Amino acid sequence: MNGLTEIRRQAIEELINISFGQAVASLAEVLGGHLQLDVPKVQAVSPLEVINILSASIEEKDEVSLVQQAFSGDFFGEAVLALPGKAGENLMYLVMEDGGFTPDMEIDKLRLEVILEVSNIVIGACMGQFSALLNTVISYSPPNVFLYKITSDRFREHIRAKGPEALLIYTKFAHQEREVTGYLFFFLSDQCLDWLYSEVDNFLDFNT
Amino acid sequence: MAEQLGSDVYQQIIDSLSQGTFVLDREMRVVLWNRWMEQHSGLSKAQVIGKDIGALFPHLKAKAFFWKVNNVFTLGNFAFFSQELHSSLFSFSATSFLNNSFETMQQSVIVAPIRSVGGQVDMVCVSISDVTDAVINRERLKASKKRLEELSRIDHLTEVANRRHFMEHLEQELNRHARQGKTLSLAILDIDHFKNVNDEHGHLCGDKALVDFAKLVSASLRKYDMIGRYGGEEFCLLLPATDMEAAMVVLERVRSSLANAVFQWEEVSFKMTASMGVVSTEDHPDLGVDRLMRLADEALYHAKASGRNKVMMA
Repeated sequence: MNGLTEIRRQAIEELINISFGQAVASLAEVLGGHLQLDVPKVQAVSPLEVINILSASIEEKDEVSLVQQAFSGDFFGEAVLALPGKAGENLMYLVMEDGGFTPDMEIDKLRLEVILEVSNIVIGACMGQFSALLNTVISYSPPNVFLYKITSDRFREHIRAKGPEALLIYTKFAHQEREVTGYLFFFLSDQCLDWLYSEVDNFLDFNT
Repeated sequence: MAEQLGSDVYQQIIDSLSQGTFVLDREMRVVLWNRWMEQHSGLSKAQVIGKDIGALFPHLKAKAFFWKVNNVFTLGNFAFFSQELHSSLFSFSATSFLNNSFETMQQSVIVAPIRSVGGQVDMVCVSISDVTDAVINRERLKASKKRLEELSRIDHLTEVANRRHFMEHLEQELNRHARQGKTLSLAILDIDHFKNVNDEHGHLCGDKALVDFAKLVSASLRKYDMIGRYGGEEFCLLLPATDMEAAMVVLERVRSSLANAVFQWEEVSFKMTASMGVVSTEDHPDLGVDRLMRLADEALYHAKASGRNKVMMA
């Protein structure tokens, strides 16, 4: 990926780090407790690498709830939030206790709803802050949730990236009080990277 | 041109939308309610403007509505209520009365942030789409797919497994039994003198006889045994985890039930018997499907040759 010079990569990492840090603060209001995000990493990836990176990054090898959500605007792509094991159930208790309501839903549907909403707000908060820093607005498609074993063929079939390359932003998050760990991946399509690099260059010029 | 549109024009635009649109302020009071919402809720603008949406629709709390809307106010994200998880956020009647299996409208709902000049989220805009037709089509497609899968596995006349499905299952069971060191038995059944039934009573009678035959055999099997129609008047039986001795007990029971049964078609009554050949992997380990079928077939031939209405071992 010729456009991703080292200086640009570091700049994007820094912008993402600031954005996600702000996102964590606002997410704490909604989810309560202490949410922690690892320092995000930025790298260029090919579609074949996407599935390997996902599989290698997720430490737990059991079933994983995968939430996919597309976003679009001046920059566009897809976010994937992976919640292994019991994260979904633990999030459900978090919501019911802090939300103070007894949902009128079957327990399986409630678990999916909580996974979807928490993913929606985490993805929205992170990308929202990033787009605000770049003075743009992005919109989101409804999220979809799937449940797969990480070593299964269906997992590999499901995550099939398009295009020659993508920009990957990756972090791990944890909600310590609720024992929830998740993995967040943002894939930016190569078709929007010219715009992104131009904005990053402007940001660098303005701040150096 | 856009700047010249007056507020009444915007109101007409909002009222012309073929989806529900309403706006809430931070106190969850209704500040906008479009015509679609009036028509489907039965509540006019005058009845709802300024009122708490939770008081108007108390069930919303249990659907996690306020939790998600508060997230929109706090974080400025979009919130989604999918039909797959919620069916309907609002219990409005389905609009189509021909061609509709739902009494309640199926809905997809989006909540969008509305920001003030300063960037703060002051209001939310809730959009409700009627997706009932899409859901009906999706359900029909699923049912068609399921039926197609069934049809591809089932013999249309007798409704037992068809040849292809039986042979695939036999292959899988052979492999499984070999891995686990277990024995299975395979039998081929052929109705004796079936041609006479068709010749004397007609093909419709023959078809009914096959249906009744398959039912009778199925009723005589254990619940984990499998029957398949191999072709014409020939059927196969797969007896998992069954050695020859046990297989002979099962098959003798089947043979006896058949021999004692009276088959009926219109005013005609008649009896039928079947000859059977059986092979067990206990006696013939490591053989593939084709070889086992041939052995069972040879045993069937001997059953026919030695008087019919009997069970012969390979």
